[in-house]
Amino acid sequence: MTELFFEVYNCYFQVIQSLIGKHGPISEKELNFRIQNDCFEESILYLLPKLTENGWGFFEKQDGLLYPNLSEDFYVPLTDLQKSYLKAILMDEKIRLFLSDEEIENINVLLSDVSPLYTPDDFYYYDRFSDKDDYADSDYRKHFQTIIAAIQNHEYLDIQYESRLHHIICHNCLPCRIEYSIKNDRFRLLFVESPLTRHPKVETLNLNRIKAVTPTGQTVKRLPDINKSLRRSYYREPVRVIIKNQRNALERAMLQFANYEKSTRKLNDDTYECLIYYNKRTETELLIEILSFGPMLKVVGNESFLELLKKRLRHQAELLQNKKSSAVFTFRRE
Amino acid sequence: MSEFKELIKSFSKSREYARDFFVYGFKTREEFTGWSGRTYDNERRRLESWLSGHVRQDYSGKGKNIYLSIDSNLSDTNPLYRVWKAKSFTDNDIMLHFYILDYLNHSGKQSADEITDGILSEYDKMFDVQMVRRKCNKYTDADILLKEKSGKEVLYRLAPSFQKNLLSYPGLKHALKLYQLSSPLGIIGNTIMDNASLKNNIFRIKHSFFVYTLEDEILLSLLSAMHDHKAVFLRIKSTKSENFRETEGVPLKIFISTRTGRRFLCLYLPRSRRFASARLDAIKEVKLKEPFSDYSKVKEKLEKNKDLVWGVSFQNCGHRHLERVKLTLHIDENSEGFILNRLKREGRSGTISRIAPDTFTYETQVFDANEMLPWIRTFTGRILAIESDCQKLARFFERDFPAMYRMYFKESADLPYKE
Repeated sequence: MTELFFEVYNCYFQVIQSLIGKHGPISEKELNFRIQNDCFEESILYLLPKLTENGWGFFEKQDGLLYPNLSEDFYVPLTDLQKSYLKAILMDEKIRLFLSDEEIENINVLLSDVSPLYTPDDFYYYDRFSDKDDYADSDYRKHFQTIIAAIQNHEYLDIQYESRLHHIICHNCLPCRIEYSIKNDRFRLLFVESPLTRHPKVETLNLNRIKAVTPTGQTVKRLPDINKSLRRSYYREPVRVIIKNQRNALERAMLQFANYEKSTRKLNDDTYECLIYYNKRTETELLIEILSFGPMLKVVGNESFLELLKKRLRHQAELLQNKKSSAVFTFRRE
Repeated sequence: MSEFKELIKSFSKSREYARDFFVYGFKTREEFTGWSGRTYDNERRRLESWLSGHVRQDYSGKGKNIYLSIDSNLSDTNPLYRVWKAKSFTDNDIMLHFYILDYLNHSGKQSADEITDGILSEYDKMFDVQMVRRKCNKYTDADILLKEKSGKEVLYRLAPSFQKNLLSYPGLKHALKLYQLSSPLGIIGNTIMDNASLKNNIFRIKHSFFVYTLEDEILLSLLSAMHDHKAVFLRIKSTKSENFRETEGVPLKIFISTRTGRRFLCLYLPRSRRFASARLDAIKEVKLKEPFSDYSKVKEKLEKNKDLVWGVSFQNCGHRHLERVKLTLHIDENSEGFILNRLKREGRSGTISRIAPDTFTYETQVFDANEMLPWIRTFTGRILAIESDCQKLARFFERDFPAMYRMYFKESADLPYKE
């Protein structure tokens, strides 16, 4: 199997390939934009002369425009590693949300000379939640595909949703993204109800509670920038955590909170301060994660998060106060 | 003084820097002790170039502090994949790549001599035929070209286009947008998207640890050994110090935590006849050894036992086979059904029983109950009792809770109960 760190995957190769396949001349402005967008910050210094002057000869300059010297139908076949990866994802149960059994079989025939890069059996997600979505459910698959089409078409959907209290709620909404949680093994729909407001609020629905989805035919020109809205939903004041680097706490905390937007600085030899950004939706989860560290982390702000934590500790103290202490510390010894 | 280059030949040094910047995000020039200051400056500049838009900087009393700030919930792809797209190449590499593929696309089967002549006549570029042959053979190994013999001559042709398949199966196009974010080795899916000029405009990911990708070369070697049932030699760096250790074992499975961001290799150690684990980010070198004849047998044994492992530890300090754990929790039946749901979905095969109004027990048996302590702590505020064979779980009441109480209320505060 070829290696992963292979020049064929280099972003210079990729940007040139996509420029050749563009079907038509390229202005220098566009070339600059594409290099800056698809390559690294300093790539332009090296790449631009190679493409516009007497460098690699892939383009010819005429009247300020670049014309490719290679055919428009230029393509790069997949490598053995890429085909092997495709074969591996065809074995995942979620693939049936995208492809029919017949399609999977046909693609497997195309990849018949390739072994899968891995099988689901090679991995064990030992602390994954057990109440995952049912990907084999035909209604679930139908809803999933309707939502994907609506995101592509920027189309409003009418959705019937079963709430936690088993009430059916109707939403007329513009789907923006589908979020997959690796921990929950679940999909959620991220949507807005009124995209035209200045700061549309991003709401979520669990896909497994959606009872019906109907396309409305009503579309918008473009989807709102949900990152802007999600960032706005973050509390102004992040959680401020002090970490004493004992028993590898720093390394553990930095890794565990790596999927949050955060910043960390050293206060003194063994003490660090970490700011973690979060919103209402992630508040309880963050609280639970911080509790799992016990006294190795100390939350010093913001006030409302600190109060949530203190409330848990007060409850715990009350439980212990009201109980006979001997019952608390019972350990069976063999 | 050598010129700064944003592309690199080998990934190992940059991997360590990227990891430290991303995971820790606070190390200053002086704190990187492994390499010289000059190396730090080059690696930092390279990372700033690769990951522009995600690099932030602060000034502390100790100097400029640069760090990577990436919110995985807001990303269409993993920005750290960019480090895999920085492999250096020569002018000949890139020219031969485009000219050979373009020439073969409309010329069918050709020998290395014909390709060399064709490139000269069509693109006015002259190459040595041996160089063209070497490139064609390298691309044949990678399945980009197909090779066949015609008499004494070796002919090369372009492998079929994947883009045509994508058009026939649009579902596959969308699947790639998800899997590049969610699957192991998603970087490879991402390179397929690059090849087909696809952008992810559908999916977002939650609970993903983007830093995993830095271990992907190691993971590939381990998967290869697992599929060939081979033993491996591992060079492992301590996560707590600069020390290295070496071990040999039989790789069986990759254990992934969706909470802590850690991935482990579970391996069988034939000499001590037991299972062990090694953190993937600590493995710095993998060498494949001979096939292990009892591979299927030990794998089966692992499958039978893995449900009794809470995390990755197969043994406890008390030399017991299994350790029992019983939690008694106060859960308001009317308003805290979600806690019962948490117990059900996170407690794996544990048994939940209602023993009194608003009082529930959770019971399980695991190899090493000590691994459950972080999870047990998440129920702080509801714990009535913890019973176990594992004495270490008493730490919750003896050490953790009193320390936390004093930390958040008053250092000198008396606990509202008798210790």
